[in-house]
Amino acid sequence: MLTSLRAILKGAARALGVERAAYAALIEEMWPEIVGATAAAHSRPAGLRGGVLLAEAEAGMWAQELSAQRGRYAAEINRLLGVQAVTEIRFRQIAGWIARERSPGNGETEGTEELSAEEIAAVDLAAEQIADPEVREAALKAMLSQARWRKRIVRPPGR
Amino acid sequence: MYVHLGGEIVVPVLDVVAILDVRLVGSSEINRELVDRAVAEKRLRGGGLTPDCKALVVTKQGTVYTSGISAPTLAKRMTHLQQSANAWEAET
Repeated sequence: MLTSLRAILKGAARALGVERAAYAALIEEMWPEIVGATAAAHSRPAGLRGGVLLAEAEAGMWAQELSAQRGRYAAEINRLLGVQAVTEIRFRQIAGWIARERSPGNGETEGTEELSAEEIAAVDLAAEQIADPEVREAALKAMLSQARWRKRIVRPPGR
Repeated sequence: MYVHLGGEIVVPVLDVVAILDVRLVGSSEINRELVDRAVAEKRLRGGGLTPDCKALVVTKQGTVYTSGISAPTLAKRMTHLQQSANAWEAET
């Protein structure tokens, strides 16, 4: 349903010559899908200028974390849009971050501490590389704990 | 390629398995257990779990490095280095 809607919007936008604006709208809609629900609560796209996506992120850790992943996010956006619309993402740090309300009831902004089987498997796979069994076991616990944190919205808006 | 963890500590990028943010790991006991295990196995490097410690870096060898550099900063360095390594590999 969502995919076909995107396809329709892209086709219509191309016909009307407003592709750039349509891409910006689609990126905003897909933002939680691109950066994850938790990070989406601490960031938002702010506009598309040429191939540069301007985005805002909560100052401090979130801005750093998101900025570090910007190449991956650009690739993911281009994959979802099916075109090379974004060549670069620039995050602007916002002090005193206030999250905007997203559509209620869609569950996207509400993170969960529960990890999926795939996420647990990915952490297991990474931990398996650790040669020392004692350290591996303790590291696995810490890695899972951090992964759970990343899935959770831990701070109220504005912090 | 190596990533600088602060002070005189550098580790090969490809050896890093995890970068753990000391502030974000849900329980300090979990951090403590990891550090205690590393100490018992003589695999802890760096200044230990001091107030200055911001990240724990775990390598494939099972060595745990404590770092005063934040986990997001280390992750950013790692990303840049990995991108450079990938570009270099693509050219050769």
